[in-house]
Amino acid sequence: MQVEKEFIARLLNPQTQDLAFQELLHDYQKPLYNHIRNIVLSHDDADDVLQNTFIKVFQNLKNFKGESKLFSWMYRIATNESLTFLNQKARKSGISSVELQNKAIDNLKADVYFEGDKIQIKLQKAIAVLPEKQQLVFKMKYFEDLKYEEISEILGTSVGALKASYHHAVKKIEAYVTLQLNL
Amino acid sequence: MKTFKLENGPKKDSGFKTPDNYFENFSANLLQKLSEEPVAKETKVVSIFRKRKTVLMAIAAVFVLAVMIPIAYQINTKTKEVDTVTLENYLAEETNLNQDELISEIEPKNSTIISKTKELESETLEDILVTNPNIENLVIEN
Repeated sequence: MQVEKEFIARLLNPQTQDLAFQELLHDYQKPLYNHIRNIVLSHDDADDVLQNTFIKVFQNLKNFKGESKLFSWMYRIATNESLTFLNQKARKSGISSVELQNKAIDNLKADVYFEGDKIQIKLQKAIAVLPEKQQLVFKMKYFEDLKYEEISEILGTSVGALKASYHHAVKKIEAYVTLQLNL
Repeated sequence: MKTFKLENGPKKDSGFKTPDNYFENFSANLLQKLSEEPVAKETKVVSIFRKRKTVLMAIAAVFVLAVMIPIAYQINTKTKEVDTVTLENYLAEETNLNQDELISEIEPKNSTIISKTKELESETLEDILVTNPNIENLVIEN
């Protein structure tokens, strides 16, 4: 915690800010990219949202009170930016966010930056059917290997509720993919 | 029948990949962007006086509406209904018709309605005659 306080102080000090921000970028760009990509699915969209996320982080550093960890604060910004991006995109296209997600999954087959097989496509389709919160919990736990305590800090939900959400998500996904495999 | 279990076999990854050197380029582009326009992205500052002026104008508008609505309502109702006193005065002063002419103008149908509504109950009439002995004398005289 002391190390983080010192790091935040360096980020806020104009003399050390540039170097500290480069460190922040180096440490967080990959995990945040993966988090965003899991939500928005396309690489180009993830690139836009990641850029917006870091700009927002940079602009709001002076307002960061240190009440939560820098890690969970940045993940929260990335999550909100991703969901806002998807909602705006759906509104502009005049379709629901579920339809938008299904369209994005269909586009994955032709995406040069997606190397998943048929099962992975089916897995994505099964996730798209879940409620928004269950989708987030499942992706953060299964694909991003985040701990329940970390997810709890990011989403502001109790660990017990997260475990229940993840359990429900796994059951629904397994049932969906099993049904698809036997068609 | 095939059954799909997430725990069975190796863990599935998301399958997402990035272009070569994506993160190196991303850092460089972002740092350049931030150094070029850090102020342009700042939140727009609205002058406190401008904000206060808008609030004052809103209060004034509400006040004007609060005063105008009852006045407008009163004017509206006055123009639609002529009060009975004005009507009586007008008939008494401005018309050439006398009382007899007015009565003759009333249609027979309406006069029966008037006579019916004016009819006194017999008990009430008796009470009046008993309590006012002078009335009897007046009736006899006429």
